[in-house]
Amino acid sequence: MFFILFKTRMLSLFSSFFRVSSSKRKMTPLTYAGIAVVAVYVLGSLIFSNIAMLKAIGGQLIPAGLASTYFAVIGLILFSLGFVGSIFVAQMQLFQARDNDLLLSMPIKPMAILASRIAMIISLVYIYQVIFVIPAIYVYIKVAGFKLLNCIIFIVLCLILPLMTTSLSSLAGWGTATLSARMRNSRIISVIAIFLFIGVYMLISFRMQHYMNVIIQKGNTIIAAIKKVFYPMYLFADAAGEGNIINALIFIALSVAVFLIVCFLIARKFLKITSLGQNVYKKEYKKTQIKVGNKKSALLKKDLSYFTNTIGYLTNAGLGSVFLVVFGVFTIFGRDIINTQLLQSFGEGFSPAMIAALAIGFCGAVNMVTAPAISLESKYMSIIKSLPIASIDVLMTKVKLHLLVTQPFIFVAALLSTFGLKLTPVEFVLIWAETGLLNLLMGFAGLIINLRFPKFDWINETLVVKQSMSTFLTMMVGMGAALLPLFGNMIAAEYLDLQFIMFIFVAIYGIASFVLYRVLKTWGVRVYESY
Amino acid sequence: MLKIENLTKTYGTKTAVDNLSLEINSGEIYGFIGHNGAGKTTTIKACCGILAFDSGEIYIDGLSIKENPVECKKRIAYIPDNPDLYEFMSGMKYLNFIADVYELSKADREREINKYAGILGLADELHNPISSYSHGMKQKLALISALIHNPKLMFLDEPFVGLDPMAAHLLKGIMREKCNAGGAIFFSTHVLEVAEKLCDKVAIIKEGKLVIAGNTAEVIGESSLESVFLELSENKA
Repeated sequence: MFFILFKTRMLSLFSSFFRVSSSKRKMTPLTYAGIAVVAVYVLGSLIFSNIAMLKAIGGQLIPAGLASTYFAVIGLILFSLGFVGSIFVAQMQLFQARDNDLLLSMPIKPMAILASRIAMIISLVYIYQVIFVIPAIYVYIKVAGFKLLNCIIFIVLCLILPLMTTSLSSLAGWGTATLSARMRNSRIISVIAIFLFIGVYMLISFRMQHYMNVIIQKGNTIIAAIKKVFYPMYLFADAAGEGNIINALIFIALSVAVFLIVCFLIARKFLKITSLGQNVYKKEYKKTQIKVGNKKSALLKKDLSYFTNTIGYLTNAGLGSVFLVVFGVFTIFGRDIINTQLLQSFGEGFSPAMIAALAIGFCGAVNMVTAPAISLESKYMSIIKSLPIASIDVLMTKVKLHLLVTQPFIFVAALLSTFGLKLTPVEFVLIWAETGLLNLLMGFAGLIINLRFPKFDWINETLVVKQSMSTFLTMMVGMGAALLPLFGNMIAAEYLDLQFIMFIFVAIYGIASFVLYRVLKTWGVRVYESY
Repeated sequence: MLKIENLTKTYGTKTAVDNLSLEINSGEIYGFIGHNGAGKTTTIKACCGILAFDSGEIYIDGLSIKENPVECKKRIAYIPDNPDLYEFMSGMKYLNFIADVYELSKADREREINKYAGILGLADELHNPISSYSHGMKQKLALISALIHNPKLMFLDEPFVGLDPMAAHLLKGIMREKCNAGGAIFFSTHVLEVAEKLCDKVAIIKEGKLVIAGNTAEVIGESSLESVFLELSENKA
């Protein structure tokens, strides 16, 4: 039974990438090849950038005889990555999946349902881990030479580590599911918690260089501290760093024990947790004023309501807005970093305005409101299509929502960076126009990609928002489009005025947006009406 | 009010609706009966402009659904078989959204919402989120949303599923009232007793093809609708 359920879970996960939920549209070999190229490109880029980061740490620690500290750092990264990456998936997949009722009504033991889902989450964590495990082992071999025992222990422990991370994320998922079922404002609290979480993550990212220096300088004391505070991680690090088989076996036994205990605990309470449902507080009927609006504003209000009431959608597709504000504030308090360090690393031919435009464009591209918009409409499609609304108005509402969620923050970030970096009014206008138009372009691109790769048979919104082909491709297109000015500037800075180059990109994004608008109006409407 | 001419809709190699023609006049309640998968929902969705079809024409109040979808939709209302309404909204917000789309004045929407929410006993629940509603309550809300803009033609797909006996009785009364006021209703159902008593006309569809259509009394003759339906199903099987 476990294998049947696990297979169904994995099919659901991969179908969200590789199958388009429409009998009429089948993916061609060319599409598969394109996806493979993009996947290799993304994985490759991440692996190479992680090699660079780990080289800086490993290059100092390993020759100084602190290989254990090096593996402790890797272990902590893997642990955090696995925990952060799986906590919300655990909550959704374990306790709030749509098919819980169906499966629980069948003659299946809750443990089998639970185990199949945890196995799926562990598989996901393995995917996250690859981008660090490969660089870690590469850097280790490069610096310390090929030590078979250490390498084998490290790989085996990396395969075991997700048992511990997933156990903890499942417990945390249980906690959040229970809390959200009991609290009146659980949705708001969840959103605040997620954004706080992201804020801490960004703070650590900004100070990464500082932490790396601390790790390098205080390698010895760090491993001692880890031994005191997080003993299993010490076992992991010591086993891999020193080739200590005993510690490796203890770590494996400990992880398996924690995993089994958590599985047993959750399995016992599974029915109770899944029966909690969502909190519903009945409101007393009060006669209120009815507000009258027009069709277009009604559509926008409806989509905005969906966006703000769906935590997974809000926190994943609206994350860029938080990044934009953080960047804007950073330009004021960290202007020296931009004006000196960043400008130096970019080299000659770059201005602070260009760096601001690049960063704002990049942060804005993180917002992918339109990329899952059609997929999310699936179960409501017949309502909206039966109403007297032109299809283009429905589609343009999705783009408007994307702009509403991002454009004000782009303006704020452009304004703050103008003050922070002491830019001229012309530079402000160029930054605002370039990043604003890039954002408009991404709104159209996300919607068109989603029309081509919709996913209608989802189990919960998170699957569409985080793990669908449409979101993945839109993210790639967004990053590519946001980086265009960087490459353009590298080529043209020698011959053209820097502000003129920015103006060229304003024109490029503007024309591309217009082209995509036309595509949406013709091809997009046709495809939408065919669903 | 509704004229379907040679409607054909295929899904890949399967013909869901095959050259179907029907006509519904003002004042008529028209029942549409058939097995699961016979093509009832496909026909209704095509009439509402939700589903594109391969060939044929559908006219609503003289207008082609292909050529004037928005104008046609202003004249109709549709209730799906499964009321998947916007669960992130409250009942009132949903009704207000529908009223905005149909451009109802403030006075009109207040009057109609109060009237139908009162009749169906949903007034006290309108400020609660739809996610907290039972299936029957969602069905009632879908019904109110279909009625508030006073459509000329209503398409109801299995409207009695999930309704309690009282609500089902009220719905039958509302349907008759609408038709007496000059409207028309085209609805699918598996409840043959209801169709027999309620419908002025009935049509039976099998494997996408219209088997029989006409005045209810003429179709059933001395028999019952159930007997006719079973006989026709066996004959064509």
